[in-house]
Amino acid sequence: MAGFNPGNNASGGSVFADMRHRLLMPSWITIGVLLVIPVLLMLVYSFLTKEFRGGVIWEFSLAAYDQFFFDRGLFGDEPVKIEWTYLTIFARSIVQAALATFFCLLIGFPTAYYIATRPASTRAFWLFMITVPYWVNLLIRTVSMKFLIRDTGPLNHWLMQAGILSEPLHLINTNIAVQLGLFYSYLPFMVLPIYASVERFDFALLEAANDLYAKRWTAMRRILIPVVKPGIIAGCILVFVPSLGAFLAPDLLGGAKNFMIGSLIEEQFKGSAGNWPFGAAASMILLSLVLLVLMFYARSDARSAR
Amino acid sequence: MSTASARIRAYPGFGIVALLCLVLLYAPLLVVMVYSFNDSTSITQWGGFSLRWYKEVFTGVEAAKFKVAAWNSISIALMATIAATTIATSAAIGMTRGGLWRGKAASFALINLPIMVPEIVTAVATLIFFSAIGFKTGYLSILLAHIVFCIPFAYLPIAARLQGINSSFEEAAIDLYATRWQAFRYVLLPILLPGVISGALLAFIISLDDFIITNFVKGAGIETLPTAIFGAVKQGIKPNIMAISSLMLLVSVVFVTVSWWIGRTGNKPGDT
Amino acid sequence: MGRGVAVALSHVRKQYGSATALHDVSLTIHDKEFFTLLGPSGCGKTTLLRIIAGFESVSDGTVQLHGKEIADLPANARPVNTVFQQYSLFPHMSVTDNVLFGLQMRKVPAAKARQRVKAMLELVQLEDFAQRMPAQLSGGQQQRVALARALAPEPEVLLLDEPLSALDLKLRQAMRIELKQIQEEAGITFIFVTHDQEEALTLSDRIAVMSAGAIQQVGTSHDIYESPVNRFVADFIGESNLLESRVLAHDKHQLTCALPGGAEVQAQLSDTSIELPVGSSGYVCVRPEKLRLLLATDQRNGVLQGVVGRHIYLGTDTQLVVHLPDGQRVQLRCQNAQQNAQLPEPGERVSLDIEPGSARFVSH
Repeated sequence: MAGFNPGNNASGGSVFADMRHRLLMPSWITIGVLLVIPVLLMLVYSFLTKEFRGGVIWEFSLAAYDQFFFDRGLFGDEPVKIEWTYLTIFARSIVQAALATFFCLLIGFPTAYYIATRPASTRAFWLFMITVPYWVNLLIRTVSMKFLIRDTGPLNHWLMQAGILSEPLHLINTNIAVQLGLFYSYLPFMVLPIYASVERFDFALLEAANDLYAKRWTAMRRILIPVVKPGIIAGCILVFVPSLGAFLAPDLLGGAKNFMIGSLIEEQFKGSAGNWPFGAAASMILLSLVLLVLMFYARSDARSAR
Repeated sequence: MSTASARIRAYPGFGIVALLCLVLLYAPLLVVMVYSFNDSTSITQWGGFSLRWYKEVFTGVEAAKFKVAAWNSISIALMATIAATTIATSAAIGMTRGGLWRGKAASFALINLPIMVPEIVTAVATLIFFSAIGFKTGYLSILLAHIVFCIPFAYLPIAARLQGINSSFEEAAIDLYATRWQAFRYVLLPILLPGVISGALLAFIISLDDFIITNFVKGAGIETLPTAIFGAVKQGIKPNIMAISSLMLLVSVVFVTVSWWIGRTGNKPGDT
Repeated sequence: MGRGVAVALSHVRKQYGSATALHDVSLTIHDKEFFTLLGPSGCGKTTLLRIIAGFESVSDGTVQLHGKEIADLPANARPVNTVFQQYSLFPHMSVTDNVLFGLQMRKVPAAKARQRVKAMLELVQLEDFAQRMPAQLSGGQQQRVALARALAPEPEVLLLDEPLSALDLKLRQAMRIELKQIQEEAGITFIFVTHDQEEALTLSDRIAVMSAGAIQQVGTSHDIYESPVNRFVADFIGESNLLESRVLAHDKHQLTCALPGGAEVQAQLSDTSIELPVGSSGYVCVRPEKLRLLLATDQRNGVLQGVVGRHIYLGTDTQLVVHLPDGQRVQLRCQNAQQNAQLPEPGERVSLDIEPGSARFVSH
C-alpha cells in the first residue's frame, strides 16, 4: 500500500497493450459511477436546503456552509460572529490525527528498523506478528481497547490490585482514550511501509558513514532517514488520513464531549436530528483537507523521485 | 554478517521499542480473548474457565440475530470479492501491460480513489447517491458499495505480482499460436494466481470487516456482523460479544496465515 | 545461393514517437540459412526480430514470409516461432506440457502431438526430463526445452533472441555447436540475434551487421572479417588498425593509398557499390595479425616506421603497440610459439610491413 505511483514496467509493448482501455473499462465504470459521481453529487447536496426528516429540498442554499463557519444567533438576526463549535471539532480532529501520527512514528520507526535488521528467519515472524492486527476487524480492536481501559476494566483492576492506583483511572470518554484508540488502530499502517523501505536500504551506506567518522545517530539522521523518507511519508499519510476521518475510536472511546469530524458527519445522517446538506458540507471540507495532504505527498514524492 | 557491521546497524533501545509495539498491539486482543472464557457474569472478575459464552453465541437469545448477520456478512463478502477481484485483475493487466500512455497516472489515481478518500466521505457520498436515484438501501446497496471499496485492495497485490512477471511469458504463448484469451487463461493467470488469491483474501477481509460504509448504506432491517456487534456494544460490552470478537479474530488469523503461506510458496514467478 | 527466399524485408522503418529505431531496412534471408543479426545493444536488431515475430508493427515497409505479406498478421497467425532471451518457459507446466503447448493451440491431434513432443525432446536430448518442471532444470537444459518448444509446431522460420547470453562461458561454447547441429537436423531457417561477434562468426551462414537502426553490411563471416565495408564494421568486428589515408590512384577497386610516413600501399576497396575518386580521404584498415615486424636481418625498410610502446602478454601471443611519428598508433600480434621470439623492447625503433593483399580501404 506504500506506493501511490503508477508502476513502470519496462516491457512497453505487451500483447495486451492495444486492449488496455477494454481491460480498464470495468474499473473505470464501477468507480466512476459508484464513487466519483456520488462525490460530485455530495458536493451538489452541500448547496441544497435541508429537509427535516433527512434528505434535501432541491433549492440552492449556502446554509450548510454558513452554519459551519458563522454564528448568527438563534433567530439569525444577531451580528455575525465566527461559529467555533465546528471549527473546534475540526481542529481537535487535526490535532488528534497529528498526535496519532507522531506517536505511531515514534514507536513504528524503531520497530520497522528493528524488524528489517533481523535475520530472514526471525524477520518473517516479526512481519507476521505486525500483519495480523492489520487484518483484524477495526471494530473489534476498538471494542477490545474500550474493554481494557474502562473504569471497571482489567487495566484499572490490575493497577489497583498491584497497589499502583488507589482509585480507577478515568480514561474512557477522554481525549486521551481517543488518542490511544487512534494510535492503536493505525500503528501497523506506519510500520509496514517504513519496513518496506528500510528493507531495501543498502546498509553498506551506514558502514561508509561510520568509516567517514560519522557517529551512530549522525549516520541515522544524515544517511538512513533521508534515504527511507518515502516510506516514512507514506506511513504518516496512511495514519493521518484515516485518523482524521475516524469514527469508531472517537465514538466508542471518546463519548459525546470529544467529538471528531467522523462523529459529526455521522450524526447528520442518523435519525431526525440529521441535516444532510450540513453533513455533505462537512464531508466536502474533510475531503478537501485530505486532498491537500495527498497533494503535498505527491509533490514530495515527485521531488524525491527526481 | 560480521560482528562489526552488525554493531553499526544496531541502535540501542530499538529492540525494546519493537517489543513494546507488539505488546501494545496484542494486549487488548489477548485480554478480550482470555475474558471470553470467563465463567463469571461480571465481566471483570475472573470466575474460572468456561465455554458458556461461546455456547451462548450459537444458542442464546441473540443467536438468531447474529446468525442472520453473519450470513449477510459472508455472502456479501463472497460476492464482493469475486466481483472486485475480477475487475481488479482486468485493471491490473491494463495498467501494467498497457505500455505508457496519456492518462495512465489519472487511471491509477481513479483505481486507488476508494483507498484515498476517507471512508466516512465514501459512506456519505454513497448514501446520497442511492437516495438521489431512488435506489432502495439494503442488501444490494451494501454489496455495490463493498465492490467499489474492495477494488483497490484487490488491485494492489495483483498489480505488484504482475510487475514481477516478465511479459515474454504472454509473448511466448501468443508466439505459439494462442489467442490472447488463451494466453491469459493458460499462461498468465496460473503464474499470477498467488497475487490474485492474495488480492481476493484482502478484499474478502476488507468487506467482512467494513463497518462505516455498511452502517450508512444498509438502511433499516438488515445487519451485517460488524453493525450487529456495534449495536450490541452500544448497550454495553457483554461476554458474548467478547466470544464473537475472539471468533472473528481467529478468522482473521487464519486468513493472514493462508495469505502468508501463498505469498511465500508462490514467490518470484519465473525466477528459475 | 540458389535457395528460395524465406524472409524478405523491404524498406522497413520503425518509429517510436519521435525516435527512429529502424531506418529503411531491406534484407533477404534464404531458406535453411543460419542468419545472424549482429550489433551493439540499441542497434535495432531485437526490434527487427520482434517485427518478424509479430510483436512490433512496422511504421513503413513490407515483411514477406515465403512470398506472403505478413506485416499485418498478428503474432499468433504467423508460422514463425521464437526462442526468448530468458527462455520464458511456462513455470507451471512440465517440460512435456511446455513443448506440447504450441501443438495444442494449433489443434494438432493428441496422438500426433505426443509423437512430435517425443521427437523434439530426442532432438534436444532431453527424453529423460520430460516430466520435470522448468525450475528443476539447469540453464542449458532450459535453453534446450525452449528450443524444442519453438521447433515443435514446425515453424517456417525460427527466431532466436540472444538465446545463449544467459549461459556461462563454457556452456555457451558447447551450446553453440549443438545449436548448429540442431539447425542442420531440423532443416529450417534460423534468424539469430546476438551482440557477441565470436558467436556470430562461428555459427552463421551469413551475418547482417547493424548499427544505429541500419544494416551496415551483409555477408559471410569471411566477407565481414576480411572485407569490412565501412569504418563501423572494421572497428566492431575483431580488432583493426585504422590508419588515416588518401586515395592516390585507382584501378577499379584496387587502390593505391598513402600511409602515414609517406609510403604507399595497395589496398582493396571492399564496398564495391561505390567508386572513390583520386584524393578521397578515408582509412586503410589492417588487422593486427597482418602486420609483420621486420627484423634487422631483413635488411630493408617496411611501409611503416615507429617506436615500440607497450607489450601486453595475451597467452598464445603478445600484443605490441607501436607509435607512428604522426601520433597514430598501431597494434600487432606476435605469436609466442615462435622460437626466436625476441621482441623489441619499449622505446626501440621498428619497421613494419603489411602482408600483401590484406589491406582494405574504408571511406567513412
